[in-house]
Amino acid sequence: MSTFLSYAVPGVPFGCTYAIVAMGLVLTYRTTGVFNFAFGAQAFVSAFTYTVLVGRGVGVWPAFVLSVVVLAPALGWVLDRFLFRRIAPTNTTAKLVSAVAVFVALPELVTLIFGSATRFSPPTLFMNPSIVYFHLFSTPINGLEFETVIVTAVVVVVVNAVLHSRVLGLTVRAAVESPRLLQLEGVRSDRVLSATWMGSSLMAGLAGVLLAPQYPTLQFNDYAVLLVAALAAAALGNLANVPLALVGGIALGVVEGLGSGYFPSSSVWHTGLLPAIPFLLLAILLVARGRLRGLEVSEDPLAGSDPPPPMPITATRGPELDRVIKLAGRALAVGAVASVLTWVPGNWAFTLTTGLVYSIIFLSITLITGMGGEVSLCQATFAGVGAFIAAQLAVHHGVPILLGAVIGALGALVVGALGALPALRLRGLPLALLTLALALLADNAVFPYSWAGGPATGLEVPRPQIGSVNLATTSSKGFFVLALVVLIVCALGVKLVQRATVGRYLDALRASPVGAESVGINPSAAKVFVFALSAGLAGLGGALYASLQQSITPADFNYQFSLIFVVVVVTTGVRTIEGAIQAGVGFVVVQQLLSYLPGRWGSGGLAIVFFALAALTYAAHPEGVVEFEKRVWTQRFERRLNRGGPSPGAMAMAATTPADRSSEAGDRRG
Amino acid sequence: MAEGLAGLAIRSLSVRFGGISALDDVDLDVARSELLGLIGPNGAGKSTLVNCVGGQLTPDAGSVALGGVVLDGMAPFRRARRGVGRTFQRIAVFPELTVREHLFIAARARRRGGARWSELVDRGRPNAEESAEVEATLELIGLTERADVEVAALPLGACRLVETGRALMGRPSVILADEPSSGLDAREVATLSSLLRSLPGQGIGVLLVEHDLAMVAEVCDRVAVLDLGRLIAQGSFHAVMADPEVRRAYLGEVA
Repeated sequence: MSTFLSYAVPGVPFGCTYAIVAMGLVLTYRTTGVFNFAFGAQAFVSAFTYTVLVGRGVGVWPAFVLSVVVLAPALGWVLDRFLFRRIAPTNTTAKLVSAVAVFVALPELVTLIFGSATRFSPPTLFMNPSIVYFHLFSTPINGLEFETVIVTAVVVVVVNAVLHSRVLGLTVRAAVESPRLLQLEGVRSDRVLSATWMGSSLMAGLAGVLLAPQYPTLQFNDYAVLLVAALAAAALGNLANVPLALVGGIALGVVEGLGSGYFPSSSVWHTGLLPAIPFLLLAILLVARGRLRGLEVSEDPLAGSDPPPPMPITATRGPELDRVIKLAGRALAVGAVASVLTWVPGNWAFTLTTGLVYSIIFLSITLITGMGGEVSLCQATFAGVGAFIAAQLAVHHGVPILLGAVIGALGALVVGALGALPALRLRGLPLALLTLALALLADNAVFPYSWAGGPATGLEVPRPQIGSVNLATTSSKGFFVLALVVLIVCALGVKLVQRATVGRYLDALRASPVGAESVGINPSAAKVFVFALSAGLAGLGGALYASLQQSITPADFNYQFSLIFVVVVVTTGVRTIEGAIQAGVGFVVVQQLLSYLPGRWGSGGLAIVFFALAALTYAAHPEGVVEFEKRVWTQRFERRLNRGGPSPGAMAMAATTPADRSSEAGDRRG
Repeated sequence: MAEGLAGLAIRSLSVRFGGISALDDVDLDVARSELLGLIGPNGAGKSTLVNCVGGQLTPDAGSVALGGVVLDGMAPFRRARRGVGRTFQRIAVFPELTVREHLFIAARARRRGGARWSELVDRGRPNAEESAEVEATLELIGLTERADVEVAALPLGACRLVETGRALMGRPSVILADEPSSGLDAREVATLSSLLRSLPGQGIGVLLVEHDLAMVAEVCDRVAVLDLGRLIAQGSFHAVMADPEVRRAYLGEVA
């Protein structure tokens, strides 16, 4: 019994940190109906600022006020004013991708501003961590642990007080559900929403600063894991129940404490199961809890007045122009390929080859998000599955890398199909969270094994040998041709599916799952198909990436890449194959160009911030910024071609404005 | 009634939403040769009943069968392939698809069972048989001229006609029309009425949920009345309207 308690008691303060974040999520969700994905990043920003300020000699309390009371709400205001407010309330994908962009960009941004040196944990607020205040069941309780429990108790009281303020709650929820409808009631919805985001951000900042001393060093990864663990705790209470979130958080901490105590530190249970518990718990809850499935399925009664998304410009421009542009596009592509093969220097040829390989991985996002209408946050994990299978087969069994790549793609395809099974009844945000849980599960409990992700020093992956041509020796230009061929084959394959009957079914399912099912389309089959094919494509791309880089580690395929990939592809243009290729090439070219910047600005973080900022344009142009620019230029060009008359493109645009279609108000039950 | 023409049979259907009984032990039959009107005040459980037949809602008790086949526990898409067609009170069209594409995918998904490997790589075009059915249905719903317009650009009335046409593809045994006339103008209601009226003659039963009593009186063979989840009367329109319980519940008359 005393052993049990000595393992369980230290888990309580740690569980309290889960509980604080869980209650923050519950508070935000209960008052706004929005699950704030960026919560973890906002918490990190405040924690980071607090640590930097204290490190520069600012007192603990002034630093607390600056980073939590001033900075956090200001950040919330900025995010609302410049990002979330511009997104249509019913556009779940846009909301999700924008939040993901914030989640990825904020930590990189603060690191760029303050430098990326290792930050050690900041001092606690009011208790000394090195003093043991008392013994509980003969387990010493130090200042840090005691403080965490006290703060948790305070947070419980505050959260309850806010949730019981009725008027505030109702207005806020109305503003979130339909800002436009509330506007008609004479309420300034925009101010209500701003205030909500500021409050949510304050809560995140508070949690962040309280948590910082718990970890030996300040790393964003801890905050990402914390967010998911807290989400699992909050999910226990359907994101609505404060006591259950509290109990869930503490229970999670205690279970982890017990696990690390009882399991021998070298056993599979300790290294594999223990870190996976929060993600497994979240995945199970998302699948099993019916109430969580409805998470943020917004139904704005005024959504019917939104214009439908515009057609791709390729479908609406005049036939002569279409022919000219296609010809020019092909000439450009041929020119680019010829240039790479002749005069382009080696490092740029390598960069562009990487871009082609990324394009293959990005095509998997075109499939799942552009065609399937779902956001997956584990595409890099699928790429990793393909890469590690191919690499392990090549290293340990002497399988040729190209054959290994095909086997890896098939392996990823199977993993994708299996991953789709628990996701069958999920859509939108809950599905995205499930994929994130799967990605973190792989990162923490599968890839770290040497039989999977290889030794810590990295897996050496060979370049392919085709006939007598060894692509390792004939510079990277041979690999460029290989990547180009594979990309073209994959693109044609995706195009084929897009045009086939299945493509039509997917269009229907994306637009209205209920309507599609009512005519006999099987949504489960479609989802398994899209997940499997998409995972297979990502796996193939991952295997090629491994061979191109010649050495890979699990860090090359961690969840952050999944998030960045989604942001990059969706903001470039997720509906078209060209979009994926432009995203792939653009991604590496921007990185390469920014790498010429001096010091930390050239370290790669800026590229991530750059692409995340592109998400700002996504809010205004959900079809993708490249697609938007193409439309603008095409129309400008067509106007110049036939002055006086309206352009065919403009006419097609006018035909798709919403006419007099109004959504039936209310859901009257007959 | 011929063996092959067995229609929709609803037995002891009950649904509860929390403490509220939305449907209470309802028995109802729709033959494949009739147009049955289902009326009742708002909240009577009409849409709940339609959702239970379509598979969008799982009832707490009771059974639904079509043509002698029990549908209980079947996913909506399987019911659709078994011959249940339906429209929605809140329209559920695919805005980016054209009218013709709506009808085409409905025809293909219903008839083929929707799972063939060739569908992954075919050109996504209707074959001769499907083409003929699409053109005939376009004619029926009066949208031939707007067949290649994206549905997003159509007014609400036309969208309801598209839904009705979509539900008709693949020749279902029964059509559930959930308030198809709401939001339609007089001319569109006339098109819809004559379309629905023509179906029972072709062996397609119709369950019409409707608030427009004039339309119900004009097109329905038989009328059933729901009130607070209970079926309180069924019979001819005039007989039902003369029923004192119906007058009390539905028309608010004090007996």
